[in-house]
Amino acid sequence: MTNSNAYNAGTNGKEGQSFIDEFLSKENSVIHSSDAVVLAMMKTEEIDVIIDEMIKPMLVDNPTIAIEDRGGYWWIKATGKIVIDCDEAAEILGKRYTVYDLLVNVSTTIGRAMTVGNQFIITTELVGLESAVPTSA
Amino acid sequence: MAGSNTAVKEALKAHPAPSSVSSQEVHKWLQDFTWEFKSNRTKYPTKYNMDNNTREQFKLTAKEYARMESVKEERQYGTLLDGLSRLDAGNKIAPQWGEIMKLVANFLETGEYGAISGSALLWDSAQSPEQKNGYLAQVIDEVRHVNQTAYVNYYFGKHYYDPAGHTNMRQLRAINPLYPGVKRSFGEGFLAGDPVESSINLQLVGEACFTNPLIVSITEWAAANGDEITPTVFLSIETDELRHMANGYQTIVSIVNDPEAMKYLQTDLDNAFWTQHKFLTPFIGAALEYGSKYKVEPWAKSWNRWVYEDWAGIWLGRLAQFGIKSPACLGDAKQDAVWGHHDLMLLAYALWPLTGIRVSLPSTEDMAWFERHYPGWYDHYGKIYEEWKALGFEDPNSGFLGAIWMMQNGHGIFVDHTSSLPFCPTLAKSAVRPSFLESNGKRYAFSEPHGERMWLQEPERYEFVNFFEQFEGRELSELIQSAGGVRSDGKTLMAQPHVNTTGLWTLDDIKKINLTIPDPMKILNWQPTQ
Amino acid sequence: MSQMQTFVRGFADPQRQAEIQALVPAEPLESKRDHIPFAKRGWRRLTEYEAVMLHAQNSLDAVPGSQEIGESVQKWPGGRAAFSIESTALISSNWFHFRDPARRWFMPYVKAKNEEGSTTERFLKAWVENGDYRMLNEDWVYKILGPTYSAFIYNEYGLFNAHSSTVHTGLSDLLKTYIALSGFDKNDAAQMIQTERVLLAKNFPGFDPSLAEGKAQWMSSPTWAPARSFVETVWGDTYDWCEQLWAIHCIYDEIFGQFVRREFFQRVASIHGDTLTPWIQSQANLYHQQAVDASKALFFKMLQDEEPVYSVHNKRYLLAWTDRWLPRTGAALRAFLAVYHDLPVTLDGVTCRAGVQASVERVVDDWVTRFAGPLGYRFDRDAFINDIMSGY
Repeated sequence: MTNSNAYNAGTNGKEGQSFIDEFLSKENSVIHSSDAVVLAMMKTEEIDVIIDEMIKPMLVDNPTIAIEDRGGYWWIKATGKIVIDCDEAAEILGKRYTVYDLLVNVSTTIGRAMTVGNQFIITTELVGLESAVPTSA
Repeated sequence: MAGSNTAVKEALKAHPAPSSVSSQEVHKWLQDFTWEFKSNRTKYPTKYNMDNNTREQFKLTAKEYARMESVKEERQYGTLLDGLSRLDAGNKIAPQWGEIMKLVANFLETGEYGAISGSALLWDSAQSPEQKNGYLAQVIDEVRHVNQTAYVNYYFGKHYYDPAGHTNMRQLRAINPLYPGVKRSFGEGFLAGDPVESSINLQLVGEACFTNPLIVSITEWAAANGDEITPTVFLSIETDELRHMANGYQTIVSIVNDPEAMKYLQTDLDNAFWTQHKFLTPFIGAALEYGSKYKVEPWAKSWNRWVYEDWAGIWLGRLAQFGIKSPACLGDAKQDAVWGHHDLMLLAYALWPLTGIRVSLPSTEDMAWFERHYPGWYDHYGKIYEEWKALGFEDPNSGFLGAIWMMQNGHGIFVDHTSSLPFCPTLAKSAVRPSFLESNGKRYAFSEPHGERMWLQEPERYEFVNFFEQFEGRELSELIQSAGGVRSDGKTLMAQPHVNTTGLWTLDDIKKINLTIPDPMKILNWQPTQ
Repeated sequence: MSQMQTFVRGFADPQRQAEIQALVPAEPLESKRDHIPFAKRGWRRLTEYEAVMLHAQNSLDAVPGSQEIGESVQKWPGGRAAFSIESTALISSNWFHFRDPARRWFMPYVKAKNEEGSTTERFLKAWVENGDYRMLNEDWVYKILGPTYSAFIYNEYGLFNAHSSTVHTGLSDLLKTYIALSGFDKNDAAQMIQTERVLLAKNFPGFDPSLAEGKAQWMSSPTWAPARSFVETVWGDTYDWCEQLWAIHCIYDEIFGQFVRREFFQRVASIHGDTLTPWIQSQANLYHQQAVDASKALFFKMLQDEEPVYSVHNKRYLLAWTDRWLPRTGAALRAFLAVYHDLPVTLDGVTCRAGVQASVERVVDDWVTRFAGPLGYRFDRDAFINDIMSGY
């Protein structure tokens, strides 16, 4: 089954006039709510390792995760939530690596992103509305 | 006098890391930093009621911010000054792309500059200290982004094989008919108005939506076209944007539970979306598709992914439960996403001497690509470009200028009064439904009803002298010269209608055309046939 | 390197790069690489500081010195333009002539602040692990660093907030940069006091890191009342952005701020065995020094010394503003001197009347040297100092 979060899933899988027709269709002239989250992470030594050793293994529990090479960055989309534990990243990388070091190379987020302790979280949840903004302790 | 050993041991037991203090340990006290007093109210009042207890999602203190940002700066400038300099990166770039970056970097600089004041406005208006802390960081971030986008022009100016325009776009843009459109949406749209309206423009729409294609996915096009400078800087710019998006989201959080908010929120959102889209959709699309030799994907697909499916679905869609609806203009915006950039580029070609860059008409290969992805493109635009080329569009001896051809063929160019962008009613394929209104003895042009409605509701906010009114009666070559648009030989133009190294246009070639800037609104027979 | 990379890069792909090279001219198309050649240089050659910011402002041409032709295209409801020269009573023939002598733009600024932060991190570690805190007088910790020091957070935080509208309204790009960085420094100064207090809470049982006592003191103690009034007025009730900057950096923080940070917390901490507070406050003093240099460049160099037309006009306003804000600053310091009565340790020459008077004279005389003198502001120094000392 194709991952609905894949880079060219859905309308973008079509070409030329078929794409335009679907893109401009009445059904697609209103917003459809999405439970996905999107991350763009710069290609760097640390991020490449995090992709390979932390994000890819998450596919076991969350098969909706899609990862795409976009030249200067990795594009990642998933349903629900992605949590990157920077204590674990620090161990893998063999150096001090806080959540704010991770943020040096997180280029964009679509969804509610935050830091909680040494973790980076991006979630579909509406924090501050559906739940409180988590604190560190 | 000193603390007893027992007490110290107890303290050590209670606090396992007594010799350091993390950023988040300090941040958790920020909400207590403020106090109530009579004049503790913003100088920029909002019609919304903002919750004083709104929180910040990234929990940065000034020092931790500086640590994180200095790592970004070390890596970014290290890459530019060491790695890319050694690799002669400035001379590995396809010319079309090196040219379009003259505008992209500078126009983005304008947006970032507007955002300094925009986020200062929000810093002033927010009552929650955590929110103020977040907005302050954004003010400084925006200073960073101006510095970075400027550095792209500065770096290209030092290393790229045609520095003209990179070095002085801050001057050249004054005569660029596209530039007021940037100022309107991406500059003053962020900083002049109700703070929440500014936040929606700046953070919820400008940043959360359009910076993704403008700053992130543009790097794919850069990389495809040999430019490793732009990805190095732009991807690092965007690492700050996620905090700004969170700021914008928390602004919504701070008002959305107030039933009164919905009286204004949908209208402000619709207006902000249209304001930002109106410039950014055609501009980004034109920059990517017409400023590249190597194409990545049709702009309409990028728009579908970043704007429609992900931004609208993940931000607005999830907020539907609080009463947020699809912007009424979404259908028209999508029509623009398919055709708006082609319309805008037609005008950029027609007015090329005023752009300050070297533009090039689509090659045969480009034309095939456009037709494949935008069926009908060739019959509408491709044929015009073929005709222009045959008439001597690129030839300095031809005396040909697209703008004159348009006038002679009944295709008037007008300035849309709300967006400040030029449009051609008779050649547009995007969602153009023009109207011409009169107020206090002055006539105004509008390209579509969304902007027209904004003007009708608050005409005083869009009271300005447009490009044609400003420069009416000025001879074209004289105008170019006065804006610094001439190379160091004193005669060759910085702007050119091709990217070849020979056959360069000079001031004399423009003078021969003998074009005096008219004001189309004063020439009745240029009115389009409805 | 991840195995998944599939993207074709024009820079690295041999075929694509060969195609690009076929289009790259043998010689650059333009030999002149001067950046923003139209702009006045603040130094002999263009600096990076100027290259990355100067004339980025796309303001209306009513702002003297702007490169822009025309006006703002979106205005406030009611029709007011985004930037307006009426936002200050001072007048410049060219608002783009301002230069921060420290040439701070984002990169060197955060680099310096990061160095201060990392050095502090290491200092705190050594300070605790070497047991330096054992030298501290406990009453100083609980009675002064508890309430009084945290009350000062509000002073710094309030002054930080007084920079928001000044950033928004500041009339040129390099001005906005200096104002924004000065505001950021004030926020940092407030947070660093709290950083110290969180550290103390980890090492002194029962030390309350909350701001409850400090806030109570700030809100109700006569020691802080005039200071609070000053901060509230300059933050909430002052609309001229130049007046705000003059009042904050060139009067209040130069006299009151320097006294509290340097003459009180740094100097008096040392007689209580406190080596931590002087370290933390040294950063705030540095920030003040930088703000003073930039403020002098604005108010003296640009708006008077090099201002061809309006220098007399500007001087008149600065004198009037000084008349307005100096007495309030004196009152703040006079009230603050009551804090000396709460000190656990006293030392002749430091905390006695003569010692405190010497401290007051130092900050007042520094102010005379840096501001009152160059401005030509006349006041009765001795009477001013005596009035302040009446609070001792």
